[in-house]
Amino acid sequence: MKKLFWQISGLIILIAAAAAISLPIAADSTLPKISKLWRPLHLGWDLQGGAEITYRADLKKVSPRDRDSVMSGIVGVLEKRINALGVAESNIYKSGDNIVIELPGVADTEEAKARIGKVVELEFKEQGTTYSAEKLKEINQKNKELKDNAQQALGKALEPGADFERVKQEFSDNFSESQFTELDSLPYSQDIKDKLLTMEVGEIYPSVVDNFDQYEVVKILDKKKEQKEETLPEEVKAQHILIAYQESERADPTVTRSKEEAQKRAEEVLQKTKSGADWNSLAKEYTDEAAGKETGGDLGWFKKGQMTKNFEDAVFAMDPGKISDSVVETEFGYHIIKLNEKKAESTEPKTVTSLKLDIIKMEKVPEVPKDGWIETGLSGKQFKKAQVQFDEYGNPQVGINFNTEGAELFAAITKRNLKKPVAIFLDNGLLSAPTVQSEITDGNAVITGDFDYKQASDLARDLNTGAIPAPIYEIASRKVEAALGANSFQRGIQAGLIGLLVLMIYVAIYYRLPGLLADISLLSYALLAIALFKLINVNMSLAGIAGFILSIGMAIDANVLIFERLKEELQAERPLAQAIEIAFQRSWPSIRESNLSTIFTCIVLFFVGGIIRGFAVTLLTGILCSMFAAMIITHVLLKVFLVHSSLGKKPSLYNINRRKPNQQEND
Amino acid sequence: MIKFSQHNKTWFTISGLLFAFSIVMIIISIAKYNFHLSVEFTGGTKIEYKVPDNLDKNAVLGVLRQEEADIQKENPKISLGNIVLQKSGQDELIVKMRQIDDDTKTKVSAALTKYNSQIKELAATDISPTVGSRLITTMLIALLVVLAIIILFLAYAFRNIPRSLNPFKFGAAAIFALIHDVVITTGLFCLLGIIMRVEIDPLFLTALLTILGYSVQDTIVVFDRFRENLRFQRRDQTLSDLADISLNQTLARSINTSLTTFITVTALFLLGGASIRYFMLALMFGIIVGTYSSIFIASPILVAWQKQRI
Repeated sequence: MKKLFWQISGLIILIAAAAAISLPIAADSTLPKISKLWRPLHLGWDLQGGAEITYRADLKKVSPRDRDSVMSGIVGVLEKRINALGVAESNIYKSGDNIVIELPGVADTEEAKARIGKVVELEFKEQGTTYSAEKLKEINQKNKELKDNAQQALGKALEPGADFERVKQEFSDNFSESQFTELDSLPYSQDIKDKLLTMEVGEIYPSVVDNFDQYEVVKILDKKKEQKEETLPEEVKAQHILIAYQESERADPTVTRSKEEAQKRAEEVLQKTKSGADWNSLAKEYTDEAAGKETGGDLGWFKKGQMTKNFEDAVFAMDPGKISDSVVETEFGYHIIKLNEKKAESTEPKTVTSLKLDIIKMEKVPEVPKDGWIETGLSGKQFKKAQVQFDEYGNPQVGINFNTEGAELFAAITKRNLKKPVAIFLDNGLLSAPTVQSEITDGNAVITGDFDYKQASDLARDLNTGAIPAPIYEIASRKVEAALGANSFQRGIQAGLIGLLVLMIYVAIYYRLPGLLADISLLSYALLAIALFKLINVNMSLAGIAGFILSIGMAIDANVLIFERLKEELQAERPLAQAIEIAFQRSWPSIRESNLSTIFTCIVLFFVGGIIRGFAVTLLTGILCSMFAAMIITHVLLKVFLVHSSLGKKPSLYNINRRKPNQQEND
Repeated sequence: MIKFSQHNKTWFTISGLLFAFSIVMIIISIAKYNFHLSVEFTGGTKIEYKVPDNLDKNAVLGVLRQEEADIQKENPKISLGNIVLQKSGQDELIVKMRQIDDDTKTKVSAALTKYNSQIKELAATDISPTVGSRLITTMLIALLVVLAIIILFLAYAFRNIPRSLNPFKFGAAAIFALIHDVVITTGLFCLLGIIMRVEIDPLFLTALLTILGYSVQDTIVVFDRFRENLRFQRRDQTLSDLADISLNQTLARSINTSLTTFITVTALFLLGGASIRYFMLALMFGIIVGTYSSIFIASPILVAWQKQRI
């Protein structure tokens, strides 16, 4: 009795918690939430819509005949990655040249994007500053092809009625948002800028623009002219006489005087200028600046920042028409300065043209290694498996087992780079560059880095799902509504509830009191299952609902099996309490075996992934809950209401025809 | 007690005819209509439209269906298949349908613009299948694994039966009933495809998996009772008698379980909306066939098979 009390209390708490989490089922229900434990039910793409992300593959390094297989490869890797994300069921398909991913819900789209779109390009590089002649030839060939491509893009864009955006979709490497840029700030040569200035909005630059590291096809999207105030800085016009000495910078070799002599001579010249001697003749006689002898040491107009510091400080401090108070020392020698004119800082109106350009960009392959590292040919393609392991200090790292080809390459690389660093690059970023201690021939390598455990296991997983065969980048992302319409899930729930109600009435009529108890058990089962769906973040799609319906069928089946047994045992004139226990014992093998075979099926289907995974998860969860409901909840309810209450003494409450002769003599 | 075994020939004939009919339907469907596979399997066409923000999706669907009917008057081979309409933001509508040629695309877009002049085509592309051939291959392999597991598991669960019986035959008979259910349900859908252009979509696959689970569950319960009765077999009882006894003992359970599940599925079929109607129809049909096969096919096959050996 005491045991039964604790069982009942435990069940009540469990079911109350399940109800608190699961009711109301839908997030947009008009019913109030029961408690703070409530969690939303994540709905699948078909019921709720979600984010549609469009990726474009960069196929410029792929020869045209391989493009189809590379695209399929990308889709395959993306599929694996999406599966590795967990229970989220997503769609992935090729749309023209793009790849579209449909992610249900919108909750953690950013996180999902970060995981899905990763290139995961692992490369091993060695030190080097130039490419081999062979490699250079290859690069030049690629860049030539690239230029041909650009020419082709230009041709297509120039066709009458051509859609520039389409051509861009087809050819361009990236899709930065175009903004107004002042003509002067554009990274083009003056010729191109001049030509652009004469072109109208909508026109396309008539040839391929070779812009340092990329080829471009340029279209003018918009053009605006602005009147801008241009600031002119302070300027001075001055003359000087320079007295150099032997050690001073840029001194003429004929100058042999010492520094002291030079200073003394400069002081003399200064005195002469002060006493009114003609500047130009003094300059002609004394200055050591060859060009200054004829011009009187005229420096013309200059701004701040053009002259050496001491000279500048002195000259900008002077008043126009004056000669410097003292000689000015610089690294070139001693100067006597005459300031002729001075213009204060001023502003001047100017017409500035800004252009908004739409650009098809095709990045060239660089001809010199950018960072002092060159490819070894060993990459993430030549390994079997990656896994997280720990170094002797317990820091996580990622271990790699190479395949045969990779192992041979790695042995050769470590041999020729003994005591030199070999760099590991991930997605074109340097991860680490450990120094090779000895030749490694067993085909195992370790990637160390500043990892925490999650980063290391993410990397291992990304490496195992494989590198995307060509880089992809996101070109669009938008929210999309469910195809079935916003109310279809609500409608489905209502229909399901009506079905459940009819079913419960049927069970109650057929099995009477036990049937009513089974109804309570069924409701508890439904609450438990929905609470679990919410807790383990199942994405409930229509397939998931199918799994749930099937598990409802199995939940009923377990109860029905038990009650049919109970009937038989009661017909065999057993006492009620004993009949209940035997009914549970006897029906258990049937329940266990039929459910176990389905559980195995679910586990296999789970690993198929894709559209089947949601079905497998909900069915598995549902079956486990249904077994619990039938074997524990129904059992306890029967004991409470039939054995331990006066209700059990009324046989009419359980639809047993005791007069019916027992046809089978068991035991 | 109902003597099921006296009419074994009748049950086998009915099932044999249904099975043969289904195979014929499946062959016709594959040969003539490529199985009526839906866009998810075959790939299709995706057109995006700019639309006014108060657009009624059902009306758009109606316009598309009308246009499809008009096009079919000229060329009955063209079909838009299952049309998927999704709104993105306030003013964009994504329409996915069966792959169509440029001419049909133009007609479809023109029909929509005629319906509402604010509807404008933004872009049209062909899209690849979302359920790729690789997934289907994986699934078929998984199904073979599942079948193997069921046979092995049942052989293990039924290992304590009398020596004269082979425990593997329980698994094999269950699998036979399962194949019977799946093939007949597929046959029915092929028939629906041939007359009403009902498509085979991923939901139908899920329905088949559900039927598979249901069929095995149903069969095992009967077999379990059969196993229990074998332990108390009297000398004058034949295997057929035992099968009949077991079936009678589990009959109420079989009918009640199937009926209750059937009620839920029927409610969803009637009230759950058009999008899940065929899915629920497949389940309803599967439940009927599954219940039938667990009573009239699985046990008789087991008995017939054992008799041959003894």
